Amino acid sequence: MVMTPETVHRRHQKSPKKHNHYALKDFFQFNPDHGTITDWNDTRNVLTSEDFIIGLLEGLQEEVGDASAAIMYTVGLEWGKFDSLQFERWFEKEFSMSPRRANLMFLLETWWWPFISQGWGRWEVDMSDRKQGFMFINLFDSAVARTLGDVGKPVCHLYAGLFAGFFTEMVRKQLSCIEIQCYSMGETYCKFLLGGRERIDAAAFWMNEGANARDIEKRLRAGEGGA
Amino acid sequence: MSATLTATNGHSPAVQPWLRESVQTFFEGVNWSGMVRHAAPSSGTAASPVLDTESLMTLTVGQFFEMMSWEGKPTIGVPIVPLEAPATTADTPSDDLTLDDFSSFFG
Repeated sequence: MVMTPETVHRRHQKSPKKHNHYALKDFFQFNPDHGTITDWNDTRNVLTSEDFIIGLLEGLQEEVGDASAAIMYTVGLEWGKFDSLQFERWFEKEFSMSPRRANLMFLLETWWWPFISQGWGRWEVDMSDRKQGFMFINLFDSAVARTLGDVGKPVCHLYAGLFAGFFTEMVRKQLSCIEIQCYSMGETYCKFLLGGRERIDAAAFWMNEGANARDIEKRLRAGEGGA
Repeated sequence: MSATLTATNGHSPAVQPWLRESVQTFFEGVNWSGMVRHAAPSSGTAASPVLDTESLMTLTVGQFFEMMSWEGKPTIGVPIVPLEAPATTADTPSDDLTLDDFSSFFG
């Protein structure tokens, strides 16, 4: 993305080392002359309504049927990969430190904060199973799920792809992600499983067989699902 | 000053019994709840009074149960045993976990 001087974030330029910049007036810069919105990291943002999300997902569903889930996942995957590169750049600039040397939880929180400001919801990373090669991400207030409401199945494929793409780039290993519990299934929050492809495929299979998030967690912790 | 020293030097006035009590015993003896309590009989200590059968019969249910050391240990003024540091488990990422460390978990 090419940034023009008009759309460069002025507050950021003025205080390049300011870390607490996630309030609306700090994080976003409205450029009325250009009809654009720039965020703290000089990325262009677009405001959308819930109708837009519904229109996008239902339109896609009508066009390609069940493949819409795979398309949204792929969109998220590419987004996550691209965003990880952007993130590495601005993290290093803001903290004068390589992301690879930073404390992991700090790094992850720093990555997700812009998403919170943009309305994608809050998250919680559960690393307790990392030594077994998988981890869980809990997402609260998913923009997609809260828009679609209770439809009885997971709908946050975009997020699953985003997590897979971001972690694949950051970890430098091919990782996959699946939503195993969703607000749109009547749950209070969404839950994602991140890990190697074999494991995620196993989880997808168990879900098709009727397993819920708890069943999947139990089976994974028992060593099922491959390495 | 010298008069005071003379008056007390080598003289041991009657020491009040509570001054000899341990912190634990002292604090246990305080009627913290402000309720009337049954006086401990002379045959037992403040911490573990022993009542004869006749005395037991005079207690109310409340007094009787109040004297029981239900958890087998006094609850007031007990020195706090330092908590054992929780063993490092897989549940909590260590503070210095980096991205490279994390990468190694994914075969």
